[in-house]
Amino acid sequence: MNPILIGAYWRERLSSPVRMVLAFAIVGLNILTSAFTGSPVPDAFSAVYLTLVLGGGAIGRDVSSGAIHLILVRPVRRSEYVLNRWLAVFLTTSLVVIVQGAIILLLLLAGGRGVPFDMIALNLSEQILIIVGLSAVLIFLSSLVGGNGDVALFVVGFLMGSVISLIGSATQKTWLADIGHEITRFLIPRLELTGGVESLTALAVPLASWGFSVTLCLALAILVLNRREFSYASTG
Amino acid sequence: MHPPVSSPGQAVPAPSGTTRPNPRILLLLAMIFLVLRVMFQIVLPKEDTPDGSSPGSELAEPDSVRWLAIDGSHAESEVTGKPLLYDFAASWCGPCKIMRKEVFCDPTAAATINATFVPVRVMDRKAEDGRNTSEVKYLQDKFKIRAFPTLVVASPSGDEPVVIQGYLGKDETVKALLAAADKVKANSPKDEEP
Repeated sequence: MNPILIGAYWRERLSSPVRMVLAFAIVGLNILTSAFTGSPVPDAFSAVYLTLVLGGGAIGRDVSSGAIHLILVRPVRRSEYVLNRWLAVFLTTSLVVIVQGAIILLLLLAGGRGVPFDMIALNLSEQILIIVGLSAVLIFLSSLVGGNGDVALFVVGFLMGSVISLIGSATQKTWLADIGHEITRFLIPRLELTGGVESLTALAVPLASWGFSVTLCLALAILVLNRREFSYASTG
Repeated sequence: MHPPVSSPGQAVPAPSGTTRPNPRILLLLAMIFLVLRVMFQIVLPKEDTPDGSSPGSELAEPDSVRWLAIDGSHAESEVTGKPLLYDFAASWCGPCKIMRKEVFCDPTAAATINATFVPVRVMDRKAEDGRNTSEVKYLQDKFKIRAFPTLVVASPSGDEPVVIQGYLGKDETVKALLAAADKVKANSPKDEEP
């Protein structure tokens, strides 16, 4: 863990008003929904939007702005840079989700409603696992394209997976639907703890799938970055 | 290899070896996870293994509530005089599963629901199949369902339904359902005596 790299990432994210407004909007909406419906947990899927907003362009923006040149002239291995970017993305987003959960909890307690702590803990764990997985996917996509192109790649990939599974379902071709599901599952690695903790075997496949997505994406991101040239001469 | 970065009074040690090592450990871990994934898929019994297309499909498994199909529910409600209870849920919805476990699997709460309502579960299949059946779509549009879980208590005519959005916790949910049943019964037109 390199605190300087993580700190630099935080400073860069905090200086983007668009990101901050979007992140506040998502968190605000979740809190308002919980306040009005009394639901103690936001939909775990909202973690996906937060990760996209806070983690988009984690490497691509450094490449586009030229900041990566300044980072890589320092004694920092490229693998260290990638892993610290991943750490920074999921730590930032997890922190936001934890603060959001704490606010919802306080609202429920203030309203005198019963608080199902086990359900809140499971939902929070589920969201953090989504964030850890999706951060790795975004880091890989971000190593391929500049700017916030990783978010665009993610959206295109997700739509493609959904359309393939839709065509597979419509034409009764299970293998085609399975391919579509695999694409979407790879892009959003998640573990449904709220439904699966009763049986460990039910968690086995999603857990292996989640681990595969995370490790493969990080390995690919390092391999891609290792093979790219970032000298001033190469940028022309 | 990078030259050591140094300034007077501050020496930064340069890392030894290549600055671009291949991520061997990560690749090995990815391979292990892939092998485990394929192995689990083959070895584990299908019913214990969420197939990815419908993780958390336990909502489709029986609980203590006697859910009726959408088709016959309307007639059942007219015959018995009990209001309809629609449970709008989706297999991917965490709070739906918690509500099932805490409310619909609880014998006391389920007995109350069975005695008071004609219960109908309306599962959203958009994420899995890309679309819903016309019956599900009709009911979702009719009651303006925007989130899951949503419970709707309605008379057979569907006038003035009571909508409970989100999971409120077991006691609150049962309380809200009973209040909704009273309200719907009070609002529904009385059968004319022959």
